[in-house]
Amino acid sequence: MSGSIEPIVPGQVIFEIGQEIEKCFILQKGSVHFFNGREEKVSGIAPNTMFGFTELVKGKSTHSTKAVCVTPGTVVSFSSEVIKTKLSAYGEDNKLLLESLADQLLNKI
Amino acid sequence: MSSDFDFGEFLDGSNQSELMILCLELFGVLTELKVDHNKLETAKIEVLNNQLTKNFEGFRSAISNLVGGNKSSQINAMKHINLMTDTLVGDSKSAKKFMEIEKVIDESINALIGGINSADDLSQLVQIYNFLPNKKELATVLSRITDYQLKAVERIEYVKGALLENDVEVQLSEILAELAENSAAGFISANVADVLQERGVDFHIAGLVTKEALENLSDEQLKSNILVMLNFSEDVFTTNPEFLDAIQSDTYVLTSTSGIDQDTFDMLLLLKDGSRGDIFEKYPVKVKEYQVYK
Repeated sequence: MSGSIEPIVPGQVIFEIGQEIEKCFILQKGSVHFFNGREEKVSGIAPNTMFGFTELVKGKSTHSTKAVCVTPGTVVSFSSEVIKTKLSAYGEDNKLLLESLADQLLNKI
Repeated sequence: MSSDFDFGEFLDGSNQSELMILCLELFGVLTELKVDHNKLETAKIEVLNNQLTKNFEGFRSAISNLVGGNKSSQINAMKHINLMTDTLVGDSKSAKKFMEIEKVIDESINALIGGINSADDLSQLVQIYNFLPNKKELATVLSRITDYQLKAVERIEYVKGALLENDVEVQLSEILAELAENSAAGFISANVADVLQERGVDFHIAGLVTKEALENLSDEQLKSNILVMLNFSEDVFTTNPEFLDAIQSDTYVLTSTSGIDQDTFDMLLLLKDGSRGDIFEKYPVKVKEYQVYK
């Protein structure tokens, strides 16, 4: 599955809490904020950042945050299978390290 | 499902700049008054051989199908190049290349306009204006004019005349208003187009929605009902013959047009009251849901 370029506009929800992780993203232009279930902003990202994949590292299949476009721009999206395939190739030690990093990120939520 | 998107390769800024330079070179060749087929073929192969190109099937396909002398393949390639160059992160080298191509276009734009004699030529100019940062507004207006599918030569000459005037923005806006007024099909008013754009619909698509498509819809439905864009391959009609029935029974079709990828369609649908956004889950389609109008 190849990548797609998708324009994003302010207010657009890129993914919702509880939504299946089917795609991961690279923010190319614009900005995106992340919200928890209480609609509190937990983080924001700037261009050239990959997002929407952290939960996969923890073996989860749904998003735990809501991603909302704040300033217009573009994202490149690609199938989450790409990340899953990469993760499956990691050794147990590396997996533990990644999981602990993912824990730190997810615990902020 | 293969997993061939190489995000590591893509995230490397120098790779993005490299592809951007190749795209700019190809765009420059396509905007020349007389396209040099040898230069075109060389620039096309350079783009196709780039390591990032393989990550984007739609883009690769548009460039691969680009044929010198085939205007529609050129317009499609230019559309993809514009999207790609707007997306890629450049550096000083790509900025220099952009200025080089921009200068060539600036010098030849009047001659290009003078050579317009078909609706395709106007569509090509839309892409050239989209490429130029200070002409994007003009591209928007001209694009809406071309959506009226001008066929009559005198109409094209009329638009062409306006393009060469100093107050081109004003003149084109007047032509657009006139076309909307006189159109038998009747495209929607700016207010309704604004509602759709406010919900996130691209202006090119919003401008294609006709009054007939909205005939039985209230403003409230247009603002609040679930609005989605479906992108699908024409194969879906064969693999899932009930697909069209599902669309007709659960949605209002606002407009449809060809998709960016070859043999695909984009369909803008407003779901009927009470219909759920997951009705397309069982079909091999891409669904983009728009936000509610606030």
